[in-house]
Amino acid sequence: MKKLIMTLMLFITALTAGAQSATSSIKQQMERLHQTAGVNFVYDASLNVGQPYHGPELKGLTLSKALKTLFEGSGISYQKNNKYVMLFKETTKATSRHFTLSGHVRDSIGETLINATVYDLTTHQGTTTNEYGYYSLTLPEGEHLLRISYIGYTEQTVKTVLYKSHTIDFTLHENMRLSEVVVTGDLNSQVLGTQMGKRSLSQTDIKTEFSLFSSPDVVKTIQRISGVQEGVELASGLYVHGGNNDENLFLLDGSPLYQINHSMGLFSSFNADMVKNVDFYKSGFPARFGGRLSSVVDVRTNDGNMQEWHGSYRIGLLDGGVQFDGPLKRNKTSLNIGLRRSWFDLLSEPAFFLQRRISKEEKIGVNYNFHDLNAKLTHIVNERSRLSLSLYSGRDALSTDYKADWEMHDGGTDFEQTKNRLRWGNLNAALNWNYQPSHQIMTNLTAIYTHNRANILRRDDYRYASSSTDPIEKTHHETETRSTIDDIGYRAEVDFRPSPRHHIRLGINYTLHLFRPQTKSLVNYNAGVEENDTISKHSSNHHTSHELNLYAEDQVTLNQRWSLNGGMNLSAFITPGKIFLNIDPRVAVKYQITPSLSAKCSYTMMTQYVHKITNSFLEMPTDYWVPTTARLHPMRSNQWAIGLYAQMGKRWTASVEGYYKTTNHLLQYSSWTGLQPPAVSWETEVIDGKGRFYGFEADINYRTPKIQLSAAYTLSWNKRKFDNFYPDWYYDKFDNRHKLNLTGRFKLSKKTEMYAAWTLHSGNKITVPTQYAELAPLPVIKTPGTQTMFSGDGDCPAQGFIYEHPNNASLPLYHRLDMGFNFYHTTKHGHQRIWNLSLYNAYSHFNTMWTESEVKNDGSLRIKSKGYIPIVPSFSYTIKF
Amino acid sequence: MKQNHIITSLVAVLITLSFQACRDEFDMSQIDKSRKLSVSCYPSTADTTWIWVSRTIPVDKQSTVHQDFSIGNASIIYQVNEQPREVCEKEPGLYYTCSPQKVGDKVTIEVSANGFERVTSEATVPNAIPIRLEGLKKITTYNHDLDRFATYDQLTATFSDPEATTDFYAVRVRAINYKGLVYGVADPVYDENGHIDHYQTQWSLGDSRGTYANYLRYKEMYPNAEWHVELQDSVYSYPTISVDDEPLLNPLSEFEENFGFNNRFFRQFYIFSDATINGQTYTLHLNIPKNYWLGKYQFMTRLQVQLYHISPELYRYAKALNDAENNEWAQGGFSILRPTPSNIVNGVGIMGGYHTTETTWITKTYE
Repeated sequence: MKKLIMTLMLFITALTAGAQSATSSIKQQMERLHQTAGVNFVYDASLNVGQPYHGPELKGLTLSKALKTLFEGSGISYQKNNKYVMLFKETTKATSRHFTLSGHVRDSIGETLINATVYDLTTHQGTTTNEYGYYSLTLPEGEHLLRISYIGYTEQTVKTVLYKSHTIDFTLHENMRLSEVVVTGDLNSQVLGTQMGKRSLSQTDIKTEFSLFSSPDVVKTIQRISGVQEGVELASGLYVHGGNNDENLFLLDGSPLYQINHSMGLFSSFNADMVKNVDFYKSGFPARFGGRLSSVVDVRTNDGNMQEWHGSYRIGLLDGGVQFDGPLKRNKTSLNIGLRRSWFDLLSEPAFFLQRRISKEEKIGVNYNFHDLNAKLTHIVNERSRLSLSLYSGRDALSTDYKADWEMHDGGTDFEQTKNRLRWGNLNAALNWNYQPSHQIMTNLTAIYTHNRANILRRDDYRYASSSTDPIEKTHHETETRSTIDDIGYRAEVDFRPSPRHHIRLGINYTLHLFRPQTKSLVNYNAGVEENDTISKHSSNHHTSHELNLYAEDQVTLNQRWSLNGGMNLSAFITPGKIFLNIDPRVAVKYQITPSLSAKCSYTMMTQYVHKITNSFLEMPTDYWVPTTARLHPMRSNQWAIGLYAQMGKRWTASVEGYYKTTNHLLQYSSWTGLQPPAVSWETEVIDGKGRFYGFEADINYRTPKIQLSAAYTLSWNKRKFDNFYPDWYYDKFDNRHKLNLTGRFKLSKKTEMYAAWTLHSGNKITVPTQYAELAPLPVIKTPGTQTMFSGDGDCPAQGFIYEHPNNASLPLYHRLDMGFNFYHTTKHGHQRIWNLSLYNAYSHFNTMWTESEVKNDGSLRIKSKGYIPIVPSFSYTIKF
Repeated sequence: MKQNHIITSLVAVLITLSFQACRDEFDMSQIDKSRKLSVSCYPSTADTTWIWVSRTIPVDKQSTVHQDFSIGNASIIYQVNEQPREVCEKEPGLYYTCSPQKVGDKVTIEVSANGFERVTSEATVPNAIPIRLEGLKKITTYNHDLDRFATYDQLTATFSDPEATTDFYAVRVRAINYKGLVYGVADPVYDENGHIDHYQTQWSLGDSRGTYANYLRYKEMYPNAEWHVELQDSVYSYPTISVDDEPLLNPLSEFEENFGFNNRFFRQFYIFSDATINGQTYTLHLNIPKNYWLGKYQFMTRLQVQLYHISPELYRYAKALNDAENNEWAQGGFSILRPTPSNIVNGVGIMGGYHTTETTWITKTYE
């Protein structure tokens, strides 16, 4: 930074000195503009600014017009950048020789930066780095001034002379001390990028000063984006543009995840310490993504520090974590490893141990824990080739044990024991080879393996004898249910940038899915009073299917105003008895109205072949995934989106988007009895339906070095129709008509940062009864002249509530304020300590979660709101080294 | 320093606010409040078709259930294949029409009552699906509710599901329990006229539980004895079926029961669909509690299985009633609550055709 300022000062001094000796020349006019408009000119001494100026009087013109008039036909081009105007020798248009500049953009510790902009100020062409931090820019032969920028990092300007294709790796430094944090010409920005419906979140965006139960959460951060509904409070639901929770494609370093939550959704599986970047797409999906209808969450983890070892320890209210990263071989091989684990069991275990010691007859044990283990090994083979191995293991484990041994007279026995054991989680591995065969092409080959499992085991033992002389009656009952998915496959991608006007991506993805939705075993043993009896049952089912995706997309810059991203995703799904073939077209168009205002529209079609069978809105280990079979249709969606994006000054950005989405062949489990629908008959237990979702979204952001403010508003309608469920269209459970998120992050001082987020949305829909009625008996065959009796309520008069319409009412308005503070302290050893204090639902508004219909004693009918979640304070303590 | 004050003040304000924790009131005015006619009618091949007519009470702040639901003097037009049938009122709210319908008959109904919108509906009488009894035996199996083994009487009955159609069923076990007595005599002593003077051996087995099984045992032991069985009074009943051994009735695991799911069937009407057995011949395994008897009607028990071939509308209606009761998660907003379907246009309730077939009776011969 210092170098840059010094260089600028040098040029300014030269400019001022030169102006004194020149008369009626371009240089003189520049001096006048410097005095009147306050701009400084930056240029190379070889530039001929002493040439005479014959144009019209500049006085009275706006700065933009004055500059255009001054340099027209002079052989000098210019680039205005805040208070500076950079001058260049105009490139010879006749040159036909082009060369390619390629390389990686990294931060100071060698971490590649995703979505960084590399922009040539000479030709006004640029590109962004892809998910591997790679860029490629083909430019005419000659001198170029490149600007490399990334939000939160010092912008870098580099002069290079291009006479052959070559590689330059850029290193950017975090700009904690800069007075402005504004990146101009960020090609990943919503104003300049062709992509719509995309939000890029860096680790800084995710690791806010607020974290519920001590862990910053990727999914809960995405929930605050417009167009996303969070579902049931506290659960990490993601309902994007009316879609279901299973319609989101979660990719962890390119490997798909099936279960992304812990504790029924309380925490998401992504360890924020490990996350480098999250690209979230809600519309305008590029052709390279497929397989889900509603959103793509592309999570990339940090490679690790290539220079030296660093790490952190964190302990919080419910969990703690450690993270280390550093070089195994400096500038060659790095390792990044992070572990997060809940530690609630470290408290519960001693407590229940005491209980077991104190109580003679009843003994209770409860243990719950979860962990996430991420590891990434990156090896730079050479300038063109790098390998990385990314591993993830996440698991929830819940065990309960109840034992009672009641004392009996006469030496009898009364013993019972019930054990429950639940385990569920993911294991993912992605082996990636990144190779750059030429300056314009980057290839990527990833082998992926995903294992998802859930296991539920219950054992009941009972022994009883009324006296010591009686035989002991023994029963043993054991049930176990297992559900697994194994995905094995590869992704091969080619990133080809033949010219700055084209960015072509080609790829093929293949996945072998092995679904074993339910393997059940049951053992019942009975002995004692009656004859010994053993029942043993075992059942299992499996589905094998193959999913193949071919895609091609090209991001084309047609001219200075028009650009488009068009592509096609061709998918084949091979399931026993049937092959499904589908072509999903994708197109997004951008029109740059002014440098700070653009309009975009997009159309995307998506196809989904796998489905989650669930009977609840929570993430349960009893849920399981199944493929589309010959009896069903894959789910498909069409989405149209349109938007306006603006940058207003240096600090403000704003956007408005509208979308209209239709989906066909939505699947809904239709039995609604039990948590674990029988997998053997799942195809017959689902109903086919369609959805219609549309809405409007508005976002405003304000950003200064000390303050970040954002407002996101969504107005949406989510409707569904399942003929076998309800004959008409009805509102979706999460049809929250209005949603407003206000977020602020403040640097109160060098040592204190604050976060506040207020959420306001229309309440979730709920099905409430509309009528109270007498429920007539169901058919009974009566024999004339006889009396007929029923057990239970068989023939008794009954009255009850009638639910006429699904989701016919809205819960009261939902609103909540979350706040968080980070207090920083640096030790004398240079280690940073962070105390975090967070308050969820800071003003303790008991938001209604459901309603209860009842008949009161006086006969009046009442529907009561039920809400239980008060203010939830959390804290954490982190040491970074 | 100033900033520290700001933070302290802010925290203090938040703590204060937290004590003001507020709850919301559910806005009942957003619910449709018009009252409706409720009609229930199940046309079949039975001699009498009953029609229940009542009114609903809208869920409203002002409503109270301490009101009479029944609708007397309703105007009912009941037509079978467009031919009207006479409808009589047995008591307020309960109407009937005589003469049975045939399979495939299209039955329509129109009900009008003062102050209510006229309601209409229709149903078709389904065909019969024959069912035959396979047997009755005592079994011991694990009972989820009791968390232990229990002994049941298991009836098995077989039926064939038509392949070409999607069919819906309900099943019930019907019992008839008798009062009665049994006695036996053997070894007669004759008088001089050759008539029986008395018996050297006599058994009076009484009328208690197990008597009939005892009688059968004795009869086998003493084949030359003369036995007298006297059945006095009887009562029909529909015992509860334990569905653990019958997959079509979808038993739940303990895990699900622990999470608030139940598997109760409204009015002992055990419904199921042919989704998993389409076109197959299937044997139902129906467990009823061992020693099922009613009060003094314990001398003898006979059982049969009734299979109801029901219309889709009736199946969905009964299923919705079951689901609403059995799924606490749905009540809590964590799962989908199935609305109560109705094919009564402008009203609520159900008009669903059914056709019942019954197995032969089987007498329980063991204890």
